[in-house]
Amino acid sequence: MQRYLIRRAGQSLLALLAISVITFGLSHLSGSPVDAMLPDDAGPEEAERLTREWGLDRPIHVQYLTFLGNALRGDLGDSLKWRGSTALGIVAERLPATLQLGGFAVLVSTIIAIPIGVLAGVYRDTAFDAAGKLVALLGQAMPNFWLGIVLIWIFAVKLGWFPTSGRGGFSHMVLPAIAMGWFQVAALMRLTRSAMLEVLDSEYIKLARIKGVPEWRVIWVHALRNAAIAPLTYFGVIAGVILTGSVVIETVFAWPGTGQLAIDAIRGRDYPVIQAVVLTFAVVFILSNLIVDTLYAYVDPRIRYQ
Amino acid sequence: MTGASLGDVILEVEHLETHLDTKMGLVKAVDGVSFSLRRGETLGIVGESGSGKSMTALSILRLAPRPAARIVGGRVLLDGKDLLRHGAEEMRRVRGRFISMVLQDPQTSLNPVYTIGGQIAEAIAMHRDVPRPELLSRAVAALRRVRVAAPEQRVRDHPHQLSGGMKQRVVGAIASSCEPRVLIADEPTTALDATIQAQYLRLLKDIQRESGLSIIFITHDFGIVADMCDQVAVMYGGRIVEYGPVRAIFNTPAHPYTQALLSSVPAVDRTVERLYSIPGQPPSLWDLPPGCRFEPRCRWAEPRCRREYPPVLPGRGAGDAAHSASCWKLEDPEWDNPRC
Repeated sequence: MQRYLIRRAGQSLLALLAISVITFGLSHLSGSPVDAMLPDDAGPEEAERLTREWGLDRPIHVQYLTFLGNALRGDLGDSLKWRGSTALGIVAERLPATLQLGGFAVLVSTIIAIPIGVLAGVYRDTAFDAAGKLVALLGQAMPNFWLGIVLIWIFAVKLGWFPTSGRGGFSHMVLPAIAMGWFQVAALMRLTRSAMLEVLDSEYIKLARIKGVPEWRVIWVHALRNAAIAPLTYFGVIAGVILTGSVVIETVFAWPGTGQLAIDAIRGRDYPVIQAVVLTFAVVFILSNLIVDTLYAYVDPRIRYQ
Repeated sequence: MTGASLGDVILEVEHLETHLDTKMGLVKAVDGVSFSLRRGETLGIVGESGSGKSMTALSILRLAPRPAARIVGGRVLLDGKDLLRHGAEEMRRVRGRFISMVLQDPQTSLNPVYTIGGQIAEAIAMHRDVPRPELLSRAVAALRRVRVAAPEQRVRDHPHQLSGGMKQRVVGAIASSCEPRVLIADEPTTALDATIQAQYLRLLKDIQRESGLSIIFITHDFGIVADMCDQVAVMYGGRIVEYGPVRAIFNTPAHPYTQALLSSVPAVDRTVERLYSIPGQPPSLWDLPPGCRFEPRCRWAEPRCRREYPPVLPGRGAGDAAHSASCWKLEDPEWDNPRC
């Protein structure tokens, strides 16, 4: 168990390092920030001065190592757009909003998807199973930005049940969480259903029934823990989908989180902030996957002894 | 165990019929099977794959895979009470407590995510009012009974840490943990090595001797039948074609199918060029002829075999009234039924 976790943590560190290289490279592909920062009437000397000041004239690998060294100290530079704030400071300020919405969306999707997936597997080829399939199909067919706009139009504008946008109480979270989570519900449900079908067919389920275990316990204790392994793996993917989804959904719902910040920063070529957002997303994603791997080992004892 | 010391009838199966809905159509997987089992007796059910052996076993426990399988007729009497009339909860209380079962493949019979101890303890907790802390020591005792070494350590293990033979012992411990009256063993040693197989069979016999357990032993191995069984039922195409004491079945097999089966068993005291094999294929169960199901492969077949299913007729097991078979040839006193 320990060796497994240490190995996974090591892999996570390597992934982080790779991501730092990619982040650094990408932000340099999007054009020089000097052009974005300078007013239109500034001369070439002015541009040259800034380039030197920001070290953009130095060799690329030196720039990267400087970036990495600073990043390790938590310094990703100052924002170019929001004067007087550090890039990481701005991201840290916005991150709780994103985690709140994303966490809520994941929680609700899980609570809805797992039981429906289990029951769809148990009652396969019934009306319930068909209804579940329809819900899944809709969730996977509708793009999240479109779903968000339609939800706002129906439930906020026409019916007035929920606020149209912004961050506030619980009611503010409902529509964006649905827009973000429906796709996950669909995916989780289908994974759970097919895993249940396979598990329910297995010999150890037969033996559980032979022992005289009541049917509810056969399903929710014996079968589900085995069937949970596949959807659990998928939670690592979900973390990524939620984070990238936040960029779109937060913009649609004017949710003041990191996703919205990312759009603003990209528009302003505020590349310290872009780097900070991408790196933070990467850290959140890698941490989520590390947690998933740990849970995975807890659920499936065979993993622990690998 | 010899026939003389057998006790009362515990389990009686009468005209059991289980149908399976398949894509190819309706299959009469179990088609009017009857037998009875006495206390301490071992009944062997022999037949090819697909002959309905396992489906008969699962039907007794009412665990034939649903919704495809349905029990459509017959009675399963346990101590005179018909299990087919039991409600779900009543039936649950029978499983594991009165009738239990050991499955064929030990590699997949245990739940991979729970400990051995937990899985045995659960079987006990389902039927016995044992306080929680005591359950684990009961599990240890159950493991010791099936001769697993260091049971105190093993209870904490997960299935993947055990060998196949060990796993099958654990399944045996689970099946026997509540001291059932009837144990159904569905080819329990097919997946095991020959030496482990012999140990396991001895273990089953010992448990039987200690507890007066009745065993239904499903197999296609006549060697095991000779070793383990008191009575034998030979199944073909969802029906029992021959039924009788093990000695009668071996010495004077009455049904041509049984004769053919016995002829295809290799023997150490005979040298043969080629092992005998029964010509033709087992019948496809969704397209059964009205007559004898073995007729297309039978060397004694005559026109009426194809038209009409033969009645159950007494066999020739040296004056043994319990020996019977379904074959028209038995009406002919002149017919001598040699091995092929």
